[in-house]
Order: sequence, then C-alpha cells, then structure tokens
Amino acid sequence: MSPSAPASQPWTLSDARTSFFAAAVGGGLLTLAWWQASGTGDLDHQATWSGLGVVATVVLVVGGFSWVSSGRRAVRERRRALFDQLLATELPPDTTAELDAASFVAVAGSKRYHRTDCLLVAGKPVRRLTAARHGSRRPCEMCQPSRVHP
Amino acid sequence: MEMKTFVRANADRVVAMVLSVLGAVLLVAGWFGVSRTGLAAEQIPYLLSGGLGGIALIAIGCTVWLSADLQDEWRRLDSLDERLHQLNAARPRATGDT
Repeated sequence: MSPSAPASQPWTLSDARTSFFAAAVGGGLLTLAWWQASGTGDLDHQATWSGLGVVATVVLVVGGFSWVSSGRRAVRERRRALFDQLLATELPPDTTAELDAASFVAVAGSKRYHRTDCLLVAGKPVRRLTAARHGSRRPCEMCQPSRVHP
Repeated sequence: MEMKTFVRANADRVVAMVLSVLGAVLLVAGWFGVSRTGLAAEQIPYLLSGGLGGIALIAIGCTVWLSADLQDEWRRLDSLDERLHQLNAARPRATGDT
C-alpha cells in the first residue's frame, strides 16, 4: 500500500482473508462444540468439547485483533509518510508583509499558533488570535508563523 | 428521518453496537440457563452458547467499532494527502507569478 496511491481503506485483501478465515473457523468450531456438548450427558465428552469451544473463542478474538492491528499499522505508516512529505514540502514564497497578527489561529487547548492556511489546522475548529494572545504560545514548526510576527 | 440518516452514516458502528448488545444478552441468558440447574452436564451447553458465544459476539462488536474508527482516520488522511498534493501543484504557478 503506497502512500502516493492510497486505497480507500487501510486493509489489504490478505488482511481481510486472514480475519475472515479466523472468524469463520472460530464461529464454526464454537457452534460445533456447543452442538456436540449439548447432545450428550457424558461429562468427560462435554469437557473435551468445551475445551474446543475455548480454543474457538481464542481463534475468533485473535482474528479480530489481527484485523485491528493491521489497520492500525497501515494508518500509522501512512501518517508517518504524510508527515515526512509535509516536512519536506517547501513553503510558498513569503507573503508575510501582508499578514498581521490577526492572521494567526490556534486550536483550543494547543500550545502552538499557526498561520490560517496551515495544513495542521485544516478542518479543525480554530480561533483567531491577536498578537497579545499568541504571545505565550510556540510558533508551529511547519507553517512558521514566527517569520511574520516573532 | 434524522435517525435514518444517522444510522446510514454510522452503519458500521450501529452493527458493532447491535453485536455487543446481543453478546451481552447471550451472556445473561447463559447465566440464567446455568443458574436454573445444578447438573454440570446441563450447565456446560449454556456455558458454551451463552458464555463463550456472548464473549465472541462482544469481541466481534469491538473489532467492528475499532475498524470504523480506523476507517475514519484513513479518510482524514486521504483529505490531508489531497490538500498536500493541491499545495504542491499550486506552488510552481505561484512562484512564476512573482
């Protein structure tokens, strides 16, 4: 899964196959265990099938865990690749003379302030800052608003 | 109408909730079944269907919920990727203008 041509979801076909197989085997074995254990009054026989039921549940849970962890891995790798790409991207020519302190924004609870067009705040609820209000905040390392108003 | 829109927009989370609730119901039903009898041979089938079955359904529900979260995050990364490409595509023209 390359970052430049991302699929519409974080999982590959192989991930889907593995998890579907685990779910099918686990579900099937659990049903079989229940079926066999409920068809007899022999406790030893039931204990054996109960053991299989526990194994089936573990298989199901491991299948789900594998699905979630492969998705998390894909998201983490893509996030890292995007972040590297962002850091490698040069900023557009400085048009800072036209900007003033009112052009900065911050996300609530964040200790950084950004330019209004910073990608790190894109789509997030932000509020505009005056020079006095961004004074205690650090400038964002990516959009470097301190070039405009240190 | 609003409920319908909500369900459609969060179908995977609704499925996750339904599976988890079903799992919890199975656990309670299994407990009732086990508590009704003192014979171990009659209790074990309830343990398998209600106990392990309920745990399995809850586990699947949690998996579906977490995968919905991951898909949401993936979509956000998609839009960030797209914005970055737009930024990169727009830069040469902006440089040429100045």
